[in-house]
Amino acid sequence: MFRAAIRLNFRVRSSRPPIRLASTASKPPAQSQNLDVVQQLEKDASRILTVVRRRVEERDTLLKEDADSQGSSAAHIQRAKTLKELEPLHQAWTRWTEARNSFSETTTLLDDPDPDIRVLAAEERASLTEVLSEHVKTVFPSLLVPPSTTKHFSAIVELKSGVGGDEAALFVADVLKMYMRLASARGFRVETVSISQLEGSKGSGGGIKEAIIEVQGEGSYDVFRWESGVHRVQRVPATESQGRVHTSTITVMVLPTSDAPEETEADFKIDEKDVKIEVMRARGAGGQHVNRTESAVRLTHIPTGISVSMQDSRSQHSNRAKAWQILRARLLDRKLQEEQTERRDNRRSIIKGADRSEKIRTYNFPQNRVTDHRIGLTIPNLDSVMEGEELEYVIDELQKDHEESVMADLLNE
Amino acid sequence: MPRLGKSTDLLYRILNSSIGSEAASRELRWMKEAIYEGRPKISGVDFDQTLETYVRQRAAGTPLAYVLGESNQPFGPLSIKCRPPTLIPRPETEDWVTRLGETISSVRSKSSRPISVLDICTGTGCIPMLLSHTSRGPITALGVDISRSAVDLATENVADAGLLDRIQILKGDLFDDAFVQTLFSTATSRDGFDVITSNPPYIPQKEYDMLPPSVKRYEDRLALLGDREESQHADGLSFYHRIVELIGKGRLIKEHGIIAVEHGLGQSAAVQGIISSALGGRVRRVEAWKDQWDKERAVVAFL
Repeated sequence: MFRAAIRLNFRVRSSRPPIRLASTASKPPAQSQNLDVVQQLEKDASRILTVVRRRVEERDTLLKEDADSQGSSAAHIQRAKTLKELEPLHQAWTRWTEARNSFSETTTLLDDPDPDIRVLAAEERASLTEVLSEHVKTVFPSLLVPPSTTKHFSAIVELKSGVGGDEAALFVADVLKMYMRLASARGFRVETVSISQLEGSKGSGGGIKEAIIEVQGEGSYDVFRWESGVHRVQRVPATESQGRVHTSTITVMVLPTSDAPEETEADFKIDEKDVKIEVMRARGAGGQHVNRTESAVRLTHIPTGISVSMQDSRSQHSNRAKAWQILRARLLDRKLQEEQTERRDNRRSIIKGADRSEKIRTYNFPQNRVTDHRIGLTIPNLDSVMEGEELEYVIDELQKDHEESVMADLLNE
Repeated sequence: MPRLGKSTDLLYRILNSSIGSEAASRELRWMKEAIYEGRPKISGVDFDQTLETYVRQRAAGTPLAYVLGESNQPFGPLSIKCRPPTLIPRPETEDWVTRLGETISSVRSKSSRPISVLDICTGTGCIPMLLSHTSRGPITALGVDISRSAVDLATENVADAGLLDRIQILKGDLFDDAFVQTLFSTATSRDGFDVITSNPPYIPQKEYDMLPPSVKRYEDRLALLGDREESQHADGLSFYHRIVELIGKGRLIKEHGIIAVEHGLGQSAAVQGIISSALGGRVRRVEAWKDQWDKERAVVAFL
């Protein structure tokens, strides 16, 4: 994305050692007499090359297993899947090896009596060095970071007002608008699942106690998932007569959901027997005796205790359908969280933003700035964030940071 | 889209004092949604006026389904028009009829011959309409009701849903032998109906007298009171006796048909008894279905 114009609002990043790939970027290549430029490159990038080499060996092993085995067991299917995933890396490694070998061959040509050949050799070395360098800096890293397993999910975004009463509810409305703008900018469709406005009270409050929206589109979950957590707002509330700044909070929870239940069914199925369906409010004799509109529904997933209530629509049928959708999303999210925790326990790096009660961002209105605490990023243009534009930048940075963490883990394996 | 004119506050307070704060904010929102749904381009002035009318009607005690009647009452995935005094479709009915639709789908034979349904005391026509919707294969239905206004309303609903070629509505009195003859000949032309459904009036006189005003003042007594004058028992079961009597007499239902009837609290055993004694060996199996509130609500007999 072209951001040259915006970069003039310089963003401030608190000091935090950036995780780079080996040390290729931070150190100028120390040319010792004994190592040529490519040998130096290999030395600096030894860790990443080791990882790539290991993956290629894994692939070779899998290929052998595949040739030896027969039939289509679950293991076979998994193997085929992994082989397909490793294919691009294998091809990149082949190109690397060829370039590497070609480079070695040019070494002897540097001493060739013919000056034209010497020149050609030098040119060839230069271009090969570029290719090899590119592989180490860009191609291998991008292929090593596993593709997002969640990129086909849509997002269910739940916003709840936290500390701060009416003011928090007003902020929920503001953040909701911000997310609508973000979704629109990214070409995602937004559907409102439920909204609980602040009851009657002081006329046109406009505050929202709780809202659930569905953001639909490929990649929408990957964009919105960084919003999960506590958002803190510091500003003078509309109702404040003495101009004092108040601090309020709202909680955002982003859950994965899919339009294609068959896709998610494969890895994830809810047993209907595990879900208790409660319709709210006793009806007495019920039936013909009563004509109150009673549409509220609550679903409880007994094994996990996760419960979803829905009473937005006049139609019990519709409330039930929405409640199921949210329940699925919460359970799927829980599964993903568990998988992530499992992975995390095997690694030394900290994957940020996994704790839902963590304060992830502060919006300071008087000082017109927004700070994302996970990456220490401050945007000195709050309005632009609320408009959605700078929010996109923040999310891109969070995504990049996440990929760097994953890479760091890979290198530390 | 939600309008926040200053009248909203006043309207909320009017509703609040009548139906309580929780219901007030919910119903106010539903009223606004219903207005927009029906007339998305409505002018601000008309919107305000309509909303105020709704609120005042509701605050005076009119059931919400009647207030929003022309804007359709949700019934399962359907929208049913409601109009006083025709009985407002109940969520309990929605529940057993949905289940019945699924049951019919699962026991239906491989032939794609349409399943025929007779719905007695059809009211808004919601039962045959929902069956049409939830059953996998084609359904043809006849809905009968004693009330002119119900028959007119049901016909409108069926027409709005584009189901006039499948669902027919007829006016008649179940206790009138002449009408019963008409029913029999209609049934004979189909070799008997596959399914007979009914949500007949089932409230005993004593309970009728104690009904809440929202029911008693607005909904048709004929749709609720289950005691006929000639009945000595005052148990609300007159209609069940008449229905099984008719089934026993003529060829109203196929040899292996299904009878599904809704009943009131505590009437399950009695209704099962009425069916068994009248139809005896013809009944292969009887099931007592519970509603979402875990109350026995429907008896389903498989012949």
